[in-house]
Amino acid sequence: MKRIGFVLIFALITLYSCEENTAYKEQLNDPELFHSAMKNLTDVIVYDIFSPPVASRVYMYPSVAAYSIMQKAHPEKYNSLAGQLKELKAIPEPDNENIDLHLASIHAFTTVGKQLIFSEQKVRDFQDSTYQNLKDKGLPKKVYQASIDYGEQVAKHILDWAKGDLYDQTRTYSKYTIRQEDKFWKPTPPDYMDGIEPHWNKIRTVVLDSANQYVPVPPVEFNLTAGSEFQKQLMEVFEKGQGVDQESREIASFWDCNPYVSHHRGHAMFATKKITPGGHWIGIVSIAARESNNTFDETINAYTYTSIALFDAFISCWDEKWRSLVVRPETLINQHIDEQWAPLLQTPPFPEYTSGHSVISRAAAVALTSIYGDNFSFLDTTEMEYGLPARSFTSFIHASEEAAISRLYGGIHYRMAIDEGVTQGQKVGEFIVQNLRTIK
Amino acid sequence: MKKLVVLIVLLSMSCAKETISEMPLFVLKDSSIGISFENNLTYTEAFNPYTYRNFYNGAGVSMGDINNDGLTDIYFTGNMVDNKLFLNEGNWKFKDITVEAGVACPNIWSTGATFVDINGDGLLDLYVCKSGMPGGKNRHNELFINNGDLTFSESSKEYGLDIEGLSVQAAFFDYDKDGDLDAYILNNSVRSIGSFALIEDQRIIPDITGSGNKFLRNDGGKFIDITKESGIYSSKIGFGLGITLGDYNNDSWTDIFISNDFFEKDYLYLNDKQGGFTEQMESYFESISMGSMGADYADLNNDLLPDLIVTEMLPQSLERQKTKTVFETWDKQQLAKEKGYYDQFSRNTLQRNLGNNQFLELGRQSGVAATEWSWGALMFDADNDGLRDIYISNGIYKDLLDQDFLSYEANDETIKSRVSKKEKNIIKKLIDKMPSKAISNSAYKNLGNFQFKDASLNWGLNEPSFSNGSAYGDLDNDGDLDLVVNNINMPSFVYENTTDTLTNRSVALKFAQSDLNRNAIGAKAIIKYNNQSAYSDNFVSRGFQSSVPPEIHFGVGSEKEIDSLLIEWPDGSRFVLTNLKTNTTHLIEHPDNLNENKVDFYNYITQSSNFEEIDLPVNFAHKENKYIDFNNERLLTQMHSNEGPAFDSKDINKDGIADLFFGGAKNQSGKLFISQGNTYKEITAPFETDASSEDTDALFFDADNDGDQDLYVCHGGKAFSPYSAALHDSFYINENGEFTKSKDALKFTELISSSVVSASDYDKDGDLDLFVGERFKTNTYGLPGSGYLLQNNGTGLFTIVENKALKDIGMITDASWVDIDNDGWQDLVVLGEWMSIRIFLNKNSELIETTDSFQLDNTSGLWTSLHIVDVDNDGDQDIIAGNIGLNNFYKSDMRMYINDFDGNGFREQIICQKNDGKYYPIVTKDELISQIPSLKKKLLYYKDYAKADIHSIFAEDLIRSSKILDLNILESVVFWNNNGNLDSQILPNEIQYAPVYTITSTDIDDDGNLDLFFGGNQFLVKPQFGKYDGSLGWTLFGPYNAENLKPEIVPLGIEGQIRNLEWIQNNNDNILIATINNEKPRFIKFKNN
Repeated sequence: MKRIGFVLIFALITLYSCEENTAYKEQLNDPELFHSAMKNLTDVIVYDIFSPPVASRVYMYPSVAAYSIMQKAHPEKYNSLAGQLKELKAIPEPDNENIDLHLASIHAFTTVGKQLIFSEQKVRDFQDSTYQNLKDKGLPKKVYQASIDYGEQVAKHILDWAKGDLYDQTRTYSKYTIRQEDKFWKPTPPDYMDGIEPHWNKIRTVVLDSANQYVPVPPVEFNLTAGSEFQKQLMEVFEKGQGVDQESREIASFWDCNPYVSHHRGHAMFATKKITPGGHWIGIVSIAARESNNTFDETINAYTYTSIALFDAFISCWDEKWRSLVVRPETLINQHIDEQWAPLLQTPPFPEYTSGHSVISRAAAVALTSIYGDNFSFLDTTEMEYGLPARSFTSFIHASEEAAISRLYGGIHYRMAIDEGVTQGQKVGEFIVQNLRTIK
Repeated sequence: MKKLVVLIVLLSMSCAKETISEMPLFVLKDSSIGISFENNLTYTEAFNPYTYRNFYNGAGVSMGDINNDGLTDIYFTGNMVDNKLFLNEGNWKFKDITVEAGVACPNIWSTGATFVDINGDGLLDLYVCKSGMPGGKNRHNELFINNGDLTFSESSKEYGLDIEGLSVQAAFFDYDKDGDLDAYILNNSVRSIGSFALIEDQRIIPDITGSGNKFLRNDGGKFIDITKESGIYSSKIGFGLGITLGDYNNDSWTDIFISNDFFEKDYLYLNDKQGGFTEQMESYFESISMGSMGADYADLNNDLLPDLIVTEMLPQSLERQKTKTVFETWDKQQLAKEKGYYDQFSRNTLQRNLGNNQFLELGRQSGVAATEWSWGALMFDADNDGLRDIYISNGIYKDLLDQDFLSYEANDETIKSRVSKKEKNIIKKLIDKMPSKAISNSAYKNLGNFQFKDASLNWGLNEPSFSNGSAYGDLDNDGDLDLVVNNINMPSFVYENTTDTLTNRSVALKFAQSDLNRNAIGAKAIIKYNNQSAYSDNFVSRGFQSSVPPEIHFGVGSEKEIDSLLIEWPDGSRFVLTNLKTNTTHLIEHPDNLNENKVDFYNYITQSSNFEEIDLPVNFAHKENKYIDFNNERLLTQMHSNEGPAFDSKDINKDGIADLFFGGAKNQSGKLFISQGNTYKEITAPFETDASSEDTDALFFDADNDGDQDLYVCHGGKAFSPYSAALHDSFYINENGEFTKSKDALKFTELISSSVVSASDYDKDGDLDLFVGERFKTNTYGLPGSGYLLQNNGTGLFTIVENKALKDIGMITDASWVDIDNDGWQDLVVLGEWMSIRIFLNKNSELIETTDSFQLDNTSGLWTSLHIVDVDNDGDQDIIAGNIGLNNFYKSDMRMYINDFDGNGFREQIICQKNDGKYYPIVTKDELISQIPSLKKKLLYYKDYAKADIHSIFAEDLIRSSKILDLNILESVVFWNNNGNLDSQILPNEIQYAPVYTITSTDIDDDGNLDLFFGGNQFLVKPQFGKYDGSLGWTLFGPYNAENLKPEIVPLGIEGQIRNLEWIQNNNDNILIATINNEKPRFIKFKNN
């Protein structure tokens, strides 16, 4: 008994001395903490190789989890997403006074993220080092435990919600059966990979009513006769698609964002991995948030808002891709014009119309403009770690326009897919801005 | 007048040797013999497998007697090291004379080498191919002319052979029979492989830089480039790694086989006898190797027809396949095929020569399909037992295709951080991380009949290594062939063959003729002894980048003397010698005035067929609908949606000519052909309404006892929803020759995809009743189907008899009624895939399962056909059952687990291979994850998947609740009925070359013995398992019974996926109808002689 008493006293002393150290609080208010969690998620997405639409899903759910908890900390400033996002119910209330909602928010974010990626250890390592760091800075155990518990609870809530989006079911839906006619999409060199996500339009949208809420005008009628509109657009890709000048080559490479490019050297082969187009826009969010000196909660809001726009934009775009099934320019050029022609960028493995970059960049730009305004100039350094120089833009719309046209310079899209893609993205973005209210 | 001068020189007699029982056949010699050669490679940032595609292709070995002392000398090429020439001084003593001889080729990447007497002076010259980076002194191929004093003079320019490129190997032969040696120079394209799309007809565009393949004609000592004129391709997609000479069409003229690496198909150039070649690979071979490497062409079964082996890179174990191999996907392969790149597969191929310009690919059945990253293949009689064995050298110093390396190491993630840190030697460091594993070379002892036994270990050839070029030759003149192997980054192997040549004897032939082709390259020889015969030819460039001495070696077992030797000289003249001693080297000299061809050489070789194809005016071509099973069931090995056409024939109008019904595939109407004299009337009307169904079986029978033939058609297939009305079977009633579809004859209460209908009056009430079998559930392969018993009320109206015994019995493919126990009641035999052959005895019209009492309960197979007949003519009915056979990657102890493994409402089927009592999925990690994405986390790395058995992948309760099906037997079998016991006998080897989809029988040659006919093949198989195309239809001529298990077997010569074989009566002719999936039927007559 005596011994237990001693231990107890010792424990109390320890506890007391810990309470002195409150450096952790500062840390938990630092938006960089959330930026680092998002960066960790991006790195794992690159490592695990997710296709662009799937990556947008991996960004969206963790962000919503983080936002939902953050909103509890600032109910005066933010609206709940429950009722605003399709089938999302209100998260459980925090019922323990020890909960630190920022920590819970980080934990919910990483926990949901961990479920959606493959290399869990990389997220676990991030959690461990982050939590250890906070503990070192005096994070009390009870606060830690209560926050983690709450974060888990909300993560589960969000994952349960995610389960209803038909993602699991669509994994085993039929593969696309290749159609022979010239006008239809076929796998492209060098790997002739299967078409990616032919059933992505079955995925539940979160703000849009449905995948086909904004169906673009049909593609230009397939016609290879010289002088036809289609043929003219094809020739434009043929002429510009290997990069007409340094500037266009730089633009194309900057916006390549192909998560997996393979390079063959005889039997030897290696691959380059990059962020997805959605990942690039998540990078732009981090630049904007830092440039605006956003607080922890503002940072989460910006990420969440953009990730939702990206998610719905991908569904809308993929719906059109697998409806119109337009053949890639590379296929036609090799077949009819120049057998040896290869585009500047590697053609990604899905149908051409509309351009994913155009749709999602515009939707993201509209969303970001609603937060940061029209004339927000920034230096985009997102691709620097992939060996590409930074580019500067006068506005988000400016960046999205460059992203769109980059696909023509890269030799992988016709002009129609870019123009109509931008229109489609604009509509998706506007709908989201009108229907999703995060800031009160 | 004409005097044959035949000089037989006894060059050497073998010396007796004691074999120690533990001693392996081949003993590795150590450096004390005076040979030390290591092909050492070091990669740098600038020069490595990424910058030079063929970095790890290794070097070669050439053997020949350079000083005519009767001892075979050895030349090794080196890539980054100097080449070396070792003079054989006898008694396993060699001397390095490279420097004096002047054949080191320093500082240039040497590849293939060939000893050949180019100038006809009786001395072997040496031709060395060069590759690697451009530039450097003597970067071109070099021709070293033998000065006769152990020195050589480089004279390539003088001869026009100073070719420069990525040269691999050269082959010299007299292609135009003008007495001198012409040259094929195999050059690998300089173009990077990554920049190719699958574009049609690339091979016909010559590489204008001149670095493509070359064919040169010898015009008086000067080699003239006639590549284009002679029809040889010299394009940028020529990635040739092997030149394999021989006579592929038995016309005595030398043809050329080029094995091409990567996506380009191999070439078979047939000599047109007019100075050129025509490429005809596709008409000779069905399946070929994808990344074809080395090859060899020699007779493996002593039918006097050489067979072809081509090596590839498939690892031996499933575990290594899962980590080291990237297989093509179905879609990619189809696309390549569409673009003209044919049926190429990631495995070695062994092509059995049938004569008649047809080859059958048997690599899987022979067990030689997977020998790791393979280079040289050599076929020689290692143990002098009279059958050539197979030796394959293999190894890749760095595992370029390691999947984990590709996915997680060889990527930007790693590279980018190094670039950003401005690190040096980024590629070099990447290569440092590539896995490297030395593995055993492969040797297969020939057991005859295309059966081989892995002998790598027993023969002492299992030293782990990275081996490339290899050559055989008798280095110690003891009558057996020794083996030399060039290795990367380790000493070369020199193996002494320790065959006891007193008991296993041989005969060696050397040749001499007076023209410029002194050693008679291209001469052919047949020996005959003791009712046996054997064939060989005198080509020296063999295997990979290597050459053997210009001589022929026959193992002859214990034979002391051979009866006769037939020689065909390169100029086409022939003669015969008799009574030659074995264990002797015979020098055969070409007589001066040998200009007649009295000796028939080819009558021994060419097979004449008694089957002749004829034409019938039947306007029907089966057209399979395009449906890809794999797009829904990603884990299947093959499709099952192409099992038509359905077929039956009866003489409907009783005019003595059989009338024919052909069923259509989905979206194709069936057609009935009623004979009208020499033509047929086509009837489609009643069948058109069922065009949306897939006809899978058809049966004419008199349902309503009105004396005419009514028709039952099964509707099945896989390309349907389980709720599709198109699955309903149809019954067409014949009223005065008019067929109309009966609306109420059939009363199925559920939709089934049916596969078979069989009629019998099983209840002895005077009308024909039916058995109908369910093939499978259309959306889940693996779930059992049921049998249905349709009882006839005498007017062609059927009721389904409830019978629990027939419920859920399996994936039924065929069924037949037969009174197996001779009790006067018709019993039922049913078989199918992943199920046993099941027997239901008819006890007073009650069907009772008695499979186990016939001891058939462990006969689960992939059964596809059934034929019941008295094969052995003993008065009772025997059962012949067609199975998938052995020419595939199935194993007889495989197991299939069926369950909804990811709980998404769809069931998956996981086929597993058994290793050490555990079950490992046979599909690739990517396939498994594409069907069950939730596994990706568990199976992040390929190496994890490679070691994961079913229990480590799925939770116990999931495995417990799975439906589990086992296989027991893959062979097609006959069950002899011996007084009611069924004794199984595996059908002859040829029948096992392909799945058997149809069996029929008749005594076609009127010898009183029943003859059997087998047809099959299945082409819609995933690339990693490879299409099943080993059958051209077979005839097995009776008598076939327990006393005569080796009947004569003759191919019918029908290409394609045969689905029915049926002999029909056409006036007084017997005509064999072969229906073929997605093609027109074929008609064949038999000429009795």
